[in-house]
Formats: sequence, C-alpha cells, structure tokens
Amino acid sequence: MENYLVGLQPRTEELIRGTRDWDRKRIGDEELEELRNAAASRDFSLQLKLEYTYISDPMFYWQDLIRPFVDSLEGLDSGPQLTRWFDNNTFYRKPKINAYPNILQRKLLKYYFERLWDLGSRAKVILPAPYGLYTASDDRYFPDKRSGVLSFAQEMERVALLLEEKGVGQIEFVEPFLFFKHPDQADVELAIDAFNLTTQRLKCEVMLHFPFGNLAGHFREVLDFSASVIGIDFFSTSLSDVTDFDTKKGIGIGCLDGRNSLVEESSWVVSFARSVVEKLGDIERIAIIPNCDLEFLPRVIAEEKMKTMAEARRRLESNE
Amino acid sequence: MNKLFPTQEIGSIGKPNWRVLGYRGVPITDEDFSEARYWGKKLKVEGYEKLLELLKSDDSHEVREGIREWSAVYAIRLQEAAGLDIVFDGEQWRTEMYEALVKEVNGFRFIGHVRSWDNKYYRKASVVEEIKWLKPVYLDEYLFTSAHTDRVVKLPFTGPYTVTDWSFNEHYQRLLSETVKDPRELRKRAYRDLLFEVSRKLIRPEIESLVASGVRWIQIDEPALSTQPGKEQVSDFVQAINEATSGFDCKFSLHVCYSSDYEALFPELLEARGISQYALEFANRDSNRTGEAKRSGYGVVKLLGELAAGKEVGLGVTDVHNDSVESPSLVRDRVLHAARLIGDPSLIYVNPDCGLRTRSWKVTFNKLVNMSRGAELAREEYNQSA
Repeated sequence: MENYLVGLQPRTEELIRGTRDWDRKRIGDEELEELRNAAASRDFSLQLKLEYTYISDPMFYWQDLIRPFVDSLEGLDSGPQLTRWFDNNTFYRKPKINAYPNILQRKLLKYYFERLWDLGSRAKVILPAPYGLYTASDDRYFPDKRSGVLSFAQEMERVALLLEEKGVGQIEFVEPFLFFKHPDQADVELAIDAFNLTTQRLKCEVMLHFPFGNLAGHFREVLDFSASVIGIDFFSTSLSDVTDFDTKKGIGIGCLDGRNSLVEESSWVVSFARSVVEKLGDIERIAIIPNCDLEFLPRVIAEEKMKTMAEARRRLESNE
Repeated sequence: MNKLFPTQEIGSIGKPNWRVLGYRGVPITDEDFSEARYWGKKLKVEGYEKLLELLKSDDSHEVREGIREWSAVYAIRLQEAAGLDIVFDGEQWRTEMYEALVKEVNGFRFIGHVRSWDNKYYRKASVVEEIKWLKPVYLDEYLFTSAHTDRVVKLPFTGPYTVTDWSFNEHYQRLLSETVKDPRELRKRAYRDLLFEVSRKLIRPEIESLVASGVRWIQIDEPALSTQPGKEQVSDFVQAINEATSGFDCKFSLHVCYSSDYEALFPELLEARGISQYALEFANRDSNRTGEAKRSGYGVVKLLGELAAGKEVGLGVTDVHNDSVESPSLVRDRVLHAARLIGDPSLIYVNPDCGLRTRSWKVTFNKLVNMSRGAELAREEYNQSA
C-alpha cells in the first residue's frame, strides 16, 4: 500500500500574499524566495511526516503544468491567450510551437527545489505527458499532428532521462487531455506511441495519471501505455466502468477529491479502495492518491486531505 | 436601441488606489491624491473637489462611505466620457463578482484562496448549509447609478452556474453521500442539486427584488458556463436560468467568456427564452490586424445567423488582458465582420471582452474611447454602404 501526491500543490496563504506583493513590487525577489522556501519546507516536512512512499516537489515555481516548458524548450513560445484549464476556474497561457523543440536543461532544473534531489529514490517529479504538452499548445510549425506529438515525445524523453539522472524514484506523467472528452481512436494510438517513446529507456518507476479523464471504454488501450502505475480520477471515471485492468500494473486510486473542500472520511476512503480491489482482483500495487492536483484547494484543506490519505493507508495496512 | 452598434460596459473597472486605500482607512500617497484630481478634472466630474476634501479628512465611517460613492461616480463618468451608451458603476462597490454575492447570503463559508492563473487568486467559499437569500444585494448599486446618469443602465451580476461552479459543494454532497456511493455520480448529482438551489433560492429572489424596484436590464454573468463540456450541462443551465428569469418584465443578457467552444452551447442555449443577448469575448481570440477578410473565432456569430436566432450579440472587441489599445479601425473591422456574419446589424452591440478591472484607468479609458470611435466608424461605413 502506497501514498503520494499528484500534480501541483496549493501555495500557502503567506506565499499567496507574497506573490501578490511581488507583482505589485512591494517586495523583492529575495523576500519572495524566502516565502517560497518556507512554504516548500512546510510541504516537504508534512509529506515526510506522513511517510509518503514518494515525496514530490510542491511545484511552487510552476505557474501551471505547461509554463516551465515554454521557458525551457526552445521552439515553444509563450502566447498571450489565457485558456481555461479543463472545467476549472483556472487558466494557463497557451504556448505556440514555432520550431522543433529543444530542451535547455539548465533552465528546466531551476523549477525544482534543490532539496528534492537529496531525497534520492524517494523523490518524485511530475511532467506533462508528450501528447498533452503538444495538445496544450498551438502548433504553427509541424506539418501534421503526428510528427508534432512524436517530436515532443523525443524531447520529453531527454527531459525524463535528465530527471532520472538526478536519482528520482518515480516520474509521473500527467495526461489530462486525452480522456477529458471522448477521444478519436487515432488520438489514443498516437498518445500511446508518444508515451512509449518518451519512457522506453527509463529505469525508474513510471506513473501515468489521467486527471479529469473518463476512461470508460478505454481500459484495454490504457494498458498499452508502458507505465507501471496508472492513476485514475474516480470523480471522473465510475468504478463500474473499470474493466480489463491488468493486475500486474499498479493502480493509483484517485479518491480524494482535489476539487471539493469536503474532506473525505478515512473510513470512506478505505471502503472505496477495498471496493476497487474487490472489483479488479488481486492487484500487486495500490496507491491511495488525490484524483488531481490539490492546488485547486486552499492550502489548509489540502493538508487535511493529505492527512486523510495517510490515515486511510494506515488503516488498510493494518486491516482495520 | 434605435442606434446601430450601441456600446456597452461589460463588467468591473479597476478600483483606483485612492478608493482601495481610502475605503480601508489607510492614508493615500500624493500620487494617489493627484490621480483623483486628474481624473476628476479630465472626466469633468461635478463637485470632485469634495472627494479631494474627503481624501484629506480623518478616517471615519462617513468618509469611507463617501469615498466609495465617489468611486462609483468616477466610473460612471469615465464610461460616459468614453462615449458608452449603456453604463453601470464599474462594480466599484463590489469586492469581486463571486464574493460580492455569496458573502451576502446564508449557506456559504469562505475558506481560502485558490489560483486563477499566474499570481492571480480568488477567495473561494464552500456551501456548508442550505442556501438562503436574505435581502437585495445589488439594489443600492442600481439606485445609485440610476441617480447619477441619464444613459441606459444595465445591472450585471453573477449567475447560478458560476456561483455553483466556483463554490465547493459540501452540503449537497453530504446530503447525497448515504445513497450515492460512486464518487463520479455523487459529484455530478450534488452539482445539479446545488445549481437548482442557487437558481431558485438565490438568483430568482434577487431578480424579483430588483425588477420590483425598477431594474429593466440585467446581465447574467456566467464565465463558468463554458467550462463544462457536455450538452447535459447546457440543458441544466437552461432549466436553471429559466426558473430564475421567467415571468419578469426585464431584459436579460448573458455574458460568457473564454470558452474553448461557444458553438457547443447551441442550439440548446436558445431554449433559455428570457435571454435576448449573448455578450461574448472575441478580441482575445482574434487577429489584431486590420483589413483582414477572414477573422478567427467568430464561428458562433455565424451560427446564430444561420439559426436565425434573432438574439443580440454583445461583441467583445477589446482585449482586457493586455495594455495594447485597439485602434478604432480594428474595432470597426470586428464590428462589421460580425454584422456581416449574423446578417442583421441591429443585433450587434459593442463591448470589451470582459471586465477591465486588471487594467489601469488610463488604459481602460483609452480602450473604451477607441471602442466607441470604432463603433462610430462602423456605423458610418455601414450607413454609407447601405
């Protein structure tokens, strides 16, 4: 039984005030950095205290899942257009693809807190899946979608290998685009090809997470992704629609709602996790996770949910 | 309106520093004071010297209220001076479009900030008990604005879908949790329950009180409407808004913005029979070049023309997320393009994409002035060609 976070974590109220003050030039870079470090310390400490299997970077340098790649991938430029992030009251700036992507490693690494690398194989990093990164962008360069997606897949492999070299134990790829609406079969196949290209040489654990995605009718295809753990958002996919799951793959049971402040009872989480196992059979590896990034919640609620995750894991392990 | 291509406000205007600090009882800087004087003179605000006196006065409840009222007068004069035909008070009395409403009713509890984008956040509330409307929320704003302008007044406020979508839903989910075990189904059903409760118990009583006091045009702000992907959600909205708006002698317009696909709202949205205008954002998705025969992002205008819907379009011609001021000729091109697509130019109203609250007053004023000039150019060109 495992526990870890997925996606971006919410900033503390102090850091929120700090970023606003920084925008208004009331504080400088150094003061903001102190606030950011303090918030990160709090987040790392809580994850360690709760004995999560992997400890993830809270991503306080990230404005959204895509922006660091606009900064560190040559060929991807920032666009002014604010675009809604799925069915959330949250936006990102849709990048433009103007050239073949080329990663600038030094630029990417500044988006991570240095202390993450000290955690060795307990560290986890989070990246957009190649199909998702391409789909989030406005392609003005490639002649067709397939060549664009596969080019991004190749470059994201370099990114993943760079992070693996840092010693991380798990790389989570986030794929919110593919199953948000019912996909074309060709898109599913392209996403699989791209993902498998990106991950083919990775030795660390690879998780593929589908926040906001309804996987109904696509479980056979999901198994073709070469990920050792599949993360399912159970607030978007009904348990009754989960079929054909390969029990050799691990499952991330996303049953703590990152988009509602109602904190789940640990007894409910335990009961739901058991019903998943009952339906799918004897799965070798199970992780209790949030269904999506907790950054859609205020920090105080997110921390309550983090504690509930740990408590549910404890109860499952001790068979309570 | 008899005039072709009437110009209208669409939402909030930024609050000047003297308003923000003055209302908090915090001393303002000389620069803030100069700004109040500059705009008072520029906009020819009658009696603005009284505001300057207030800004120099010791803090008191009366002083704060006075500053707040003056900010509304300034915002009204700014819109008038820029040439707008349909005005409001720039939402100077509101904290934020969502918060302003839900803090005045029972059932909601604010629990913290969540990010909107970059370093922008909003305070988000949870619905923790049954919703109850207590008293008119926007009536004082309307009465004040009406008393300070001769222009047509349109009252904008947040609609049921956005209130539902932007709130955490604890109460209605808890009520269902004993009977609905699947998390996806639970979330979906609790969402619907909340939507209809907001519509019946919050929005309808508010409309009822406003119309009884003389409001004749309400803009329902629904930025969240475009966030949900399915036809089922649009149908739910239609049912909810019909329950809120039916039977009133009042014009209703609907503002939606930043959708990835406006066309997906149709034809279902036409069943919201009380809504006579859709005010949508277009500048954000359009080319900034003039003279282009084809413009991007106007598919929904064409669709409304094809459906012969007879609904007005509030055409967003001004991007509210950058300081670049659209030229009058760009505005003209956008207006005429939309008029051609819809087929009936009398259905086109001209407005910014959304509220201009994140822009400075200088940028806001310049954008609105050029918007009005662009509408005038479009009028001239249309009349010459007609």
